[in-house]
Amino acid sequence: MPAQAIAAQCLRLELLGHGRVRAWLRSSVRPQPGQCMLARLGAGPEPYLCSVLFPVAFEPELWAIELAPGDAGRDWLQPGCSLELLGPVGRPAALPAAKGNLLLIANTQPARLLPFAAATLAAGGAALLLLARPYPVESLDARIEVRIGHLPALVREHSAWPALAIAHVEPQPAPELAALLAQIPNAHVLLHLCLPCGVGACQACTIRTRAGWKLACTAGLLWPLAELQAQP
Amino acid sequence: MALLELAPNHKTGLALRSRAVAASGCWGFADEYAGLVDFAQLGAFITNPLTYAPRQPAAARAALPFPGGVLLHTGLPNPGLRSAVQTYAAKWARMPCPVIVHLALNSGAEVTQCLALLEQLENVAALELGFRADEHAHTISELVRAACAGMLPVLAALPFERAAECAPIAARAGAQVLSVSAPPRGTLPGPVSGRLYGHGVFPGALHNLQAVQALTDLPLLAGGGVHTAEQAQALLAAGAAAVQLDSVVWSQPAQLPALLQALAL
Repeated sequence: MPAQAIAAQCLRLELLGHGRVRAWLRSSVRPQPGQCMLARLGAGPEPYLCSVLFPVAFEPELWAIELAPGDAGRDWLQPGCSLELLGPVGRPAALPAAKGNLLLIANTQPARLLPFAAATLAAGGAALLLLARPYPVESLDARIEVRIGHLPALVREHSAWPALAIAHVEPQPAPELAALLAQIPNAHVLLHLCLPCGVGACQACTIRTRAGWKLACTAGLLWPLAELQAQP
Repeated sequence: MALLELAPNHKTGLALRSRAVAASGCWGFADEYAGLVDFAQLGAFITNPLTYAPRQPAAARAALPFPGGVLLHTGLPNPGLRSAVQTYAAKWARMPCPVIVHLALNSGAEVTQCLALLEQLENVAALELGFRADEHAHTISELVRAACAGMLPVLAALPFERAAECAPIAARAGAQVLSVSAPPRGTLPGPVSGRLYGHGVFPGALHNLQAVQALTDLPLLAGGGVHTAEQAQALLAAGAAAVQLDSVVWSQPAQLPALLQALAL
């Protein structure tokens, strides 16, 4: 489905702790795991570009985004607010079967990986979330195990466990972490990119894959690590 | 229906149904924004820059937001004109506004080869030549002269930093329209250099337009940081025949209807 303008409304907010808030949105089109939406959160001129909104949870007819202190729109977004979304950006995730052990690795935006955990748990699998910094873990599904610490050390400790691993690291996995991820079969990366346009027009989100250069906003934001070439 | 003749001195001319033009570098190669914008409301669509040979993304590419704007360093990746024609010609033909192909070329010989491809295409109504910020005057002249030997109207996109210097060169070489809308270049800590887009670009764009307008009688296609109808009107009042809309399509797409309305004929 090509990106389109989609009206959305914020229906409710959940305070998660650590200043984080989860905003539940209703829109006629929802992003799927692996996709995002772009939107201006606020009426002012800043930030200049639209915010990148990944889904973090789903309910029937609703989907949620998560905002941290300092994020654009953190104080603006309230129940009743109307948003104009652009999207969906990227492609729905095409992952191996969800059943099995899922390892999730994140530093700044772990919530963006939660839809993958939900799918694995629903299929009877187990999910382990490795974090680089504190997060309101009490807001997570209690079945998700969490470890917080130095990501390379944590990944090294758990690298033999997963059937599938997904990393979402800003701005991109450092060489040590990337090398460790490369040893995990079925390691994937949810790309952390600036997306000025979201429709393949601006050429800002080029990624180098084994099949050549791609635009992440159209070719997809979730990639098997083995298909990505090292980014200079 | 009212029409704006942007290239009155050219044999075939370049008739626009609106003073709003999609700027090169922001709207893609063809229909990337077709799901979001009614292209029938545009006077023309200018493609992203195309080179003669395929061009890879820059190794150190970057998109860095800063207060009020964004710095983009992409390397202007593109498939090269021959491949682009194969991919986009049918889309260009179907677009409800004229297509202007933006070319970033190195020599008159490349221009000649590109003309042979472009002049065969339906709905490609003109070409816009882009130049590097440090392009030598002789090269600008060579490229424009070679382009003007063809059948399509030629727009010369003046480098932002040297617009007034390059305008007479392009005019003497035969350009039918001067495009005063190329984004400025800048550097952010890193350091990372690239094209600048955003609110802060507009004052410089208006300044350039006034400077070029004082030097030439050619039609001027102006732009740079236009985000409001008032800014678009200011460019028209300063002598622009039409206005290029650039990164507003990324940052404030909700502003587009008002801008298109303000620029309607």
